[in-house]
Amino acid sequence: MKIDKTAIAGMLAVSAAVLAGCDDRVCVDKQGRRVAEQYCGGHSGGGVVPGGFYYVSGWRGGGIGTVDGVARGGFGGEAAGHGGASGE
Amino acid sequence: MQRIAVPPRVDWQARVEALGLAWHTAAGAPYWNESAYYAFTLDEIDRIEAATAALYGLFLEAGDYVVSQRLYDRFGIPDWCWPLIEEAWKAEPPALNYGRFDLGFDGHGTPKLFEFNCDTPTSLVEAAVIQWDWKTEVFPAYDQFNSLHDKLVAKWRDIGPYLAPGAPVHFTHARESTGEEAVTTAYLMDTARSAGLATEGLLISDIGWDGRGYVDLQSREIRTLYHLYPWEWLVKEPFGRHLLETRDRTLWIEPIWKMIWSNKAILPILWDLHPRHENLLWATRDRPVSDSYVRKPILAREGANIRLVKDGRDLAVTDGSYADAPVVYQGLYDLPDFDGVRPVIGSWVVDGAPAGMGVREDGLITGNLSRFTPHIIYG
Repeated sequence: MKIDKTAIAGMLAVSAAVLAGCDDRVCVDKQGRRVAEQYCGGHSGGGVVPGGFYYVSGWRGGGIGTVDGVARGGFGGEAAGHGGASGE
Repeated sequence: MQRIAVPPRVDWQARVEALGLAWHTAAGAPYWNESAYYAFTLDEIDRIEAATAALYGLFLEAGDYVVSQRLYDRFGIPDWCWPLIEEAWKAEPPALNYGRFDLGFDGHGTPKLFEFNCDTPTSLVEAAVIQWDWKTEVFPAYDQFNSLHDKLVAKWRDIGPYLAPGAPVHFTHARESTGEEAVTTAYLMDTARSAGLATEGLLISDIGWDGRGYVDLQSREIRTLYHLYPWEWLVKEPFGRHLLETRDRTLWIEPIWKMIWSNKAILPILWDLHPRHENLLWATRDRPVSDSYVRKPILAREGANIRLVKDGRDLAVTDGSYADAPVVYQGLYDLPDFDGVRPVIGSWVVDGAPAGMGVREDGLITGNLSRFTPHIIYG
C-alpha cells in the first residue's frame, strides 16, 4: 500500500485552516459572506460593505445570529456540553 | 499474539506530528505508543478478519429487524427521525459504510464484539497512516493488517459520480481542544481529494441556515456533508429540525440510520437474534444474566459511565456525563493481560468489508487516554 506523504503533510495546512475557524464569532458582509474581522471594526473600503459579527457558538450566549436571512450557530451546542469530543 | 518492547524512534514525536498526529501525548504520557508493538500470526489476523466480516453481516440483519419492527424507542431516537431512518436504510444513499468494531481477542479463542463505532469513529489517522509509516520504517520486511487508506480513497471514487454535481463535499466537525477531530476530518478530506473530489471544510457551528437549506460560510448550499459529529446530537439541536425538509437537498455521510448501529441498544437485539453466536457476548436490556458483566449507557463516548463487575464485585467504574442514560448489560470478557496492559482490537470496515485494525491498550476500560500501539503480522 502506498501512502502519499506529500498529500498527507498537507493535512496540517488544512487542519490549520479548519481550526482557524474556531473563533466565537465571524465577521460577515451584507450578503452573509465571511470577511476579515477588520471590516466589522468600523473599517470599510476595498469593496466590502460590512454586515456585522455573528456568534457562531450559540451556547456561549451569543444566540443564533442572523444577517440577510442566514442564521448560524444552530449546530454544535451539544459538543460544547460534552467537552467538545464527539468521536467514538 | 505477543506484545514486544521496542525502542521508540529517536525523533518519533516529530515524525508523527509531520503526518498530522498532533495529539500524540495526553496527560504527559504518550498516547501514540511506539515503545512496544503487537505481533500477530497470519492465522490470528484471519480470525479477526473473519469475525469482522461475520459481525457486519449480523448488523445488517439486525438493522433490517429494527427497521421492520420499528424498535426505535429502545434507542431513544426521536419519533420525527423514524421516517428519515427508514428512508435512508431502504434507499442506501452513497456513504463510506465505514466504522470500527471494538473486539476482545487474546490470540486463542474467537474475537468477541464489544461494540460497533460507526457514526463518528476516531483513531482513524493512527490506524491508517501513523502505524503504517512506523512499520515501513521499523519493520519494512513485515506486513500489517492495514488497507484503510486505499479502501477509503477507492470508496470515495465509487460514490463520487452519485454525489451532487458541481458542488464540493463539505467536511465538518466540532471545535475541540486536542485537534484530533480537526485532523481526522482533514485526513478524510484528503482521501476524498485523492479520489478527485472537490472539498471544503468548516466547523459544525459555522453551518448556516438561509431559510431553504444548509449553507457554508460563503452561503453556498451544502449538498454533501461528511460529519464527524454524532447524529444523536444533531437531531437535538436547533438546526436539526431542518433535516426533514432538506432530505432531498443535503446528503449526510454517514447516513442517519447509523444511529441504530452505533447505539449500544443494538447489542441485546443481536444476542436475541443470534444467541450464543461465537463472536457475540450475551447482552440484555433489563438486568444481567450472570454476576460478571459490563453495564454501559446506550449512548456514551470514550469509556464514560461504565461499570465492570466480576463475580458480583465492582472491578472498575468510570464517571462521565451519561449517568442518567438508559443502559445495557453485556457479558464480561477477560482481556489479555500483558503485565497490566490490556489491549482492545479496533477492527475497521470500509464499504462494509474488513480494511485493517488498530490496537488500543489501557487498564480494564478503554477510554480517551488509552494508548494506540502499532502491530505487525509475523509468521
